[in-house]
Amino acid sequence: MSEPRYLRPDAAGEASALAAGDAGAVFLAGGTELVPWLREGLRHPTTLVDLGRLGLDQVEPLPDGGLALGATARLAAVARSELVRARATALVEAIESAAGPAIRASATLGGSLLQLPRCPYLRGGPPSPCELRRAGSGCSARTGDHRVAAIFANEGACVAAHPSDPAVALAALDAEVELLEPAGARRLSLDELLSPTRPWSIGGPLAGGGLITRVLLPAAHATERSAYLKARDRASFDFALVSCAATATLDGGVIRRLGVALGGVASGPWRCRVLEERLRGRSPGPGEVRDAVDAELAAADPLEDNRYKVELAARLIVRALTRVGVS
Amino acid sequence: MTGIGAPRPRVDGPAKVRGAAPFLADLPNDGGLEGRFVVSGVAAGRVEAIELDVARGLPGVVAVFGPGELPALPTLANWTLGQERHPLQQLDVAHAGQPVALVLAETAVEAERAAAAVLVRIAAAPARLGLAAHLDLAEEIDDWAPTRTVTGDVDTALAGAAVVVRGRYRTANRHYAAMEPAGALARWTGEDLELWTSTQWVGGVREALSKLLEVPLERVRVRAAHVGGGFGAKGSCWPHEIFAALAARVVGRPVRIVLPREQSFAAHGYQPETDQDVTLAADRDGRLTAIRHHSVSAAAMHDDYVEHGSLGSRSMYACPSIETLDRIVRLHLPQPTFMRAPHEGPGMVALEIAMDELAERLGLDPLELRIRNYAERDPTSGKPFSSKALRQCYEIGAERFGWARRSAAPRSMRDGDELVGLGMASALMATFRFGSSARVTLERSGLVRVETASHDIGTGVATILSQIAADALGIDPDRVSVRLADTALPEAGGTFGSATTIGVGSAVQAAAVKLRQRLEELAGEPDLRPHEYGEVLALRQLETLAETASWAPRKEDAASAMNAYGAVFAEVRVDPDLPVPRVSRVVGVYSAGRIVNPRTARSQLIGGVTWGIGQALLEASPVDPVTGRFVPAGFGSYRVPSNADVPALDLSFAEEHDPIASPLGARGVGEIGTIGIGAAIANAVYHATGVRVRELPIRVEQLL
Repeated sequence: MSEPRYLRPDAAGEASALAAGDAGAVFLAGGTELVPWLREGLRHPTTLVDLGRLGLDQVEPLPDGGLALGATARLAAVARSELVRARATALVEAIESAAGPAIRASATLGGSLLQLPRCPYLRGGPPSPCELRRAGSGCSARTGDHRVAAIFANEGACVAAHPSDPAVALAALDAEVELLEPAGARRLSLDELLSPTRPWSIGGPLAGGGLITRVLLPAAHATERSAYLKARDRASFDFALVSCAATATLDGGVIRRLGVALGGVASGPWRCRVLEERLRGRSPGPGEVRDAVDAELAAADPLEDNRYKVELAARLIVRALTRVGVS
Repeated sequence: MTGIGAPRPRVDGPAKVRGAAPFLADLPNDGGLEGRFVVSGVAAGRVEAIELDVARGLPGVVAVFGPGELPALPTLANWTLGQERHPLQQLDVAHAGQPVALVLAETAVEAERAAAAVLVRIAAAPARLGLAAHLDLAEEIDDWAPTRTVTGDVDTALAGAAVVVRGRYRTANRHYAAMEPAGALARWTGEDLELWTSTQWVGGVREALSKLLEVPLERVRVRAAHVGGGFGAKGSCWPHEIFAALAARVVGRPVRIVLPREQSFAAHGYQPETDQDVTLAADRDGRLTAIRHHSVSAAAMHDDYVEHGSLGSRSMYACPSIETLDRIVRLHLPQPTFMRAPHEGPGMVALEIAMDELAERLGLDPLELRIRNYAERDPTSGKPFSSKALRQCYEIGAERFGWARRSAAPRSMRDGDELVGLGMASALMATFRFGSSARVTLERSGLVRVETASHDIGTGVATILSQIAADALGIDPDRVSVRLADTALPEAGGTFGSATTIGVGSAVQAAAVKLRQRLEELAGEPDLRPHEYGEVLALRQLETLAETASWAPRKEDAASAMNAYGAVFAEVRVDPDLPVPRVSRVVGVYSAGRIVNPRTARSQLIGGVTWGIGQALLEASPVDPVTGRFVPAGFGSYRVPSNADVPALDLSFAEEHDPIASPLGARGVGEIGTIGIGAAIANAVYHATGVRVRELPIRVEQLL
């Protein structure tokens, strides 16, 4: 149990290579999530690779009209950026509803995507039976307190919901994640990075030196209205019980494009594709919207004490759609 | 003038803001060890195997003690103890979080690492968990206060009543959340023990340690540095204090144990869950004819703690027939304790929601119902009140809140799309008074020192004691310094029960008055002026002059009933589609006797009402049905209000002077603010939504 070594590379390629060559390496960005991992024994890194010098903290327009958000840009800086504010209200609202000002001033956009569950059985205290801590030990949330757990795809070993607010907005906005790996760069959709049906793993979705360098907002949504709504117990500094991001292009009341994602309901942002499919090309009234919502939520598989999330999700979707001009 | 009644800023404030005020964990521990408990992760069972050798071999580790490896401690029934059952003495486990080993190492980090290396195998036994599922096991035990009172004949009154309401009300397990975790540092010099601890009662800890360790009282000195919040959890002697002292004696080196946050919730008390059955009966005019309040609280398997939920119902309203009963259900849970505000804190939630329900059934305004049942004498004992300004509280509070603008029907008030609800409740807390003593010393420089074994747990005690002494001596409080929290100083009661102003304040006042009289005698003139004090000492060739005085409740005071009161009004906003309730306004007016310092007293109310918002809407600590652990282990999952949850609070005191409660005219202000607010919010939520929730906290799933 020696102290981890601390490295601060100057280039993304170097950082990725360092991590790829060292099974005990963990990236350090804002530290707001990593430090609790260390405190709580969720990770035991032998090497900390500080991403602070990689220059990945910029928000820049792309030639195709898209927007590139640096992975180590602080959440507060992203939400303050006029470029972001002009085109991605949902992302701004999601960030501004996340944690509190002190956390947002330090936490990074890339790090926000890679949070581990906030399940009380995983975090804090002497370890409880937890599939993420020890496979095969059982899921305490399933048998115990699961008020904040997921309602979709709960057949897996862990029932925790993904805690990130920005991830939900990014999912609705069709954002892509640019990944640098030893083999080179590639892009993943939010669904691919944070699959809502893939089980959690304690190591996170990236392995072998994979480093998020940028998050790309496509040009397509640049002029759309978007919104993020979040239901939470505490008025500030709380994770979503359920949240919803929506973005839409309407043409004389007819929905041309629609992106809707839910947070707090699955192991990743839950993109509402069933609903989107049903409403595309329509000019729906409240009844049709509610039918589409119900069709989406028919797949929900809530636990005994979090059934309320299904109705809460339905109401959030309706409200978010209203905010972007639908019905 | 900054004497009694002046809003003097806290004297401890600047040092705390600068980070210059030392707390227990900041104290030097040269040559000493740091301790860490290894705790059980299950609620019931027996330690089958414990692997200590790996931990013993780790760097910095000096000793690791498993069950039964430290000297045996006597069993002691004593109210200075937080719990009578000592951990680490047995293989049996009776609650999750029970210490099963103690690691001592050179540094806290080494102790933590070694503790993680201790492997414990516990053969789990079936645990009895869940209050609601075990109400049939409720038992009545002997306690410091009666658990049962009967006045009049409730059954007959109920049979003839025009209106009866009955409800089951529940409050959650809740944790105190002191900024400073509890901890203790023990040093032995030969047979003399000096224990530094973060405590509300140095005298109680001394008495407990003296008896448990069989050391004469005069050889035990207990002291505290600054205490970063107590709330009742530091009001007794708990295992970390006992085992720091015991382990230090065994290893012959100082030992400090600071509890990590994740162990704190199970290590020194919490407010237990309650399940309360309240029946109210009234005549057509809304005059109460019967109150029946039966309260059951969760308790530990081998220890006694009763949450007297029905206490407030004995005294709150004029009613000829009142029956109250407080019982416990023993579960495999850690020992609960007094948590700001014990008893009436959870208990008045039940009574005051029930009153709201009764008002609705009668078609009466909830405030009018309370006024019609205003108690001019204590309805259970028949005694007159020492002083009671609740009527003014109702009137001022209603005026400031704009209660008259409330429309009676639920869901009838809106602001835009939001439902608006207005609710109110009464608050009552029994007054506790503890005998105390203090010494006031004048130096030739004219500076004055106040010394007493009381405590400032962040409430402003040092500030108000300087004001009280200054007031009696006619000097500026800036010339008064205050020394506290040391058993070498004149003895004082514990700083709990909202009792410190009454007891310690009165003792300081008495000592200062005595000092002034003595100075006048020495000077030979009755109208000595404060700037001449130093000259008197010089003339008499004295470096200092000290007087000690004590104050204790007078026998004749027992002829009066004493309570602090409040009238609390709350406004909530609820989005009808996304019904997470938010508090938008609070007005509270309180009756607590004379207010020594309106600034520090109001701060107590702000903290109390803020905590009440947590009780109403946020705070709950469910117990895992398998392991018996509190599910939240820190502030990540145990939610206390954030600033955004707390609106501007309009909190004040009625003008009052209570010469029976104390010579100062004061009663206690510490805890009354946490009472009443929970029910006021619950009643406001009902008024907003039409949904009657009888279980706190009220959360979105109950209102969907």
